[in-house]
Amino acid sequence: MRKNRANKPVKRRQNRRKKPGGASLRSEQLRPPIGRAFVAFWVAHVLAFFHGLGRLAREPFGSLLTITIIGIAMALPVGLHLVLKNMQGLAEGWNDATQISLFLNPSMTLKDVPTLQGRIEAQVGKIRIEAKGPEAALDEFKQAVGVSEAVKVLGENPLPVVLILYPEPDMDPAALEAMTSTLQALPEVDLAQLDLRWIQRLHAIAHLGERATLILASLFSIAVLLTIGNSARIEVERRREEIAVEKLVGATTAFIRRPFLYSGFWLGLAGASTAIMLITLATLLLDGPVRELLRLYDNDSLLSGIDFTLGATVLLAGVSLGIVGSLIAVNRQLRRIEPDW
Amino acid sequence: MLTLNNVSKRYPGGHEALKAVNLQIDQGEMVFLTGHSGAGKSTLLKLITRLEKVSGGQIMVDGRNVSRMSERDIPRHRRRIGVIFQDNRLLPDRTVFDNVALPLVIDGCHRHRELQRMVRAALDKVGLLNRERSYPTSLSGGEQQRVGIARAVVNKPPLLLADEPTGNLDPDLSRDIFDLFLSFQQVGVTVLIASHDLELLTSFNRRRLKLEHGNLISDFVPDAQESSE
Repeated sequence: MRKNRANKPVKRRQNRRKKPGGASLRSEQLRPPIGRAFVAFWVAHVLAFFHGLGRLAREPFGSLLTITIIGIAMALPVGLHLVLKNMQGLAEGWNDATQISLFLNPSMTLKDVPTLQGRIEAQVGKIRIEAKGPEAALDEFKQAVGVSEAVKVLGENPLPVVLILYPEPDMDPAALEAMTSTLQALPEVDLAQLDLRWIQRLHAIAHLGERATLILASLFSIAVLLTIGNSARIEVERRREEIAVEKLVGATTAFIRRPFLYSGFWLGLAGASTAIMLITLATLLLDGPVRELLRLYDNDSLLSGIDFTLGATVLLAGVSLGIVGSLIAVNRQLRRIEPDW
Repeated sequence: MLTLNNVSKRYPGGHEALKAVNLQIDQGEMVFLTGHSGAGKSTLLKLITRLEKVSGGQIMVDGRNVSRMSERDIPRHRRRIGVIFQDNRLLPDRTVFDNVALPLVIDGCHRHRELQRMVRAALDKVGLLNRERSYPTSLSGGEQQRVGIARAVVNKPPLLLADEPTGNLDPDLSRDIFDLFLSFQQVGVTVLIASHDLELLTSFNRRRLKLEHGNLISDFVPDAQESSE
């Protein structure tokens, strides 16, 4: 330091300035032309798309674990939804069997039925009617209740002629009630009976089930969000040094965040696919027993599994939850990493 | 290239790391920044790269007002400055090539051929062209530091900052590293090196700044720069 001119403040040398009007340059000089920025934007996305996948592949066990958890969490509400859908399908099959029974007064015989049918149709419109004479009804009664001995004691047949009416399956309960009262008013009819309560109960149960599915779906969506968010958080923590260096050499937050978002995208997609696979597997396993059950109910409708719309919805939900979950976690976490040296 | 007007930095808690520093460094200069540890060398470099914000005064880098720069412009500002760290800050799970390519990828360089050409040019400059497929941990300390330098210069920034670049190296290797900096200066890059290796610094006849307790206490300028090389 022999030549050191100590305590001399600062040496200014203007003679070597090369930039004309250098100090007036604005920060715009930093930004690339728009066309180049546009291409770079898409290239960065394509790179991050595969980079995100690559990061998951490098941690196969952890990724598989996360994907399975997401798969199960998504399969549960979707499965319940399908159970309900099938139940409603079943109920529709039974709606078809909705009937109004008219117990005619004892003076009426089977010979009077065609005339009565005309009067009924004049009241309520065209309708399918089945007539059951006292003999047929008694036979059915014997078989059904197993009281043939008791019936023998009766000596004469106490049963009236019964007409069974089959209303259109799409009639709602209120219209059916109205029709029943109209029929009750006919002088030939002792009793008009409509059994609707079990259908109403079934509808109420289905309604409850729908609500439960919605609640379950919301809860499990949050679970998926947290699962994906948590794995993003761990990943950011693991890459702390890398992120710090990237910030040091001028990476934008968007650049650093992008691979994490695509990892979330892949996790959500894989999780949703797993859910669809699980549901399909369950449908296949249940197919036999359900067919048997339906056969007992004289119902030939098939067990409905995941269709295209539901599948697409599940995939979309998985992907959205994946992206949003990692976005929230990564934003929170990145703010906490300040580069230093 | 670099102008500091009355720059001060006070940390929360009251520690004053820099006190009203005035300084001008022209384009193509090579300047050493000396002083004991804690004198404010690192703080000065952090202010220039906007890792930290000035408490008072103004910093201009290449015509950009760093002290009033928006958050949005900071990443691009950093891309125009190459930084070399004492502990090189290489990413151990990436090859030498990928480490050096990082600033280019961040800057949106998407043509593989261009990327390859620039990375190889930078590695060639530091003499490590044959190690591009290696991982940093398989390299010696001096080689790692040279990879760090290649990463700092790969996108040809007009300003190069180095914080104790030879802190972990023996004297011979240190001299090699400084020769490398000299070669960048010769092609017009402005170089600012913080170091306390006075013996080495004095052997290069270059401008030397000395910081002490946050004050710029000396600014040594050699009479004729070429004389002692």
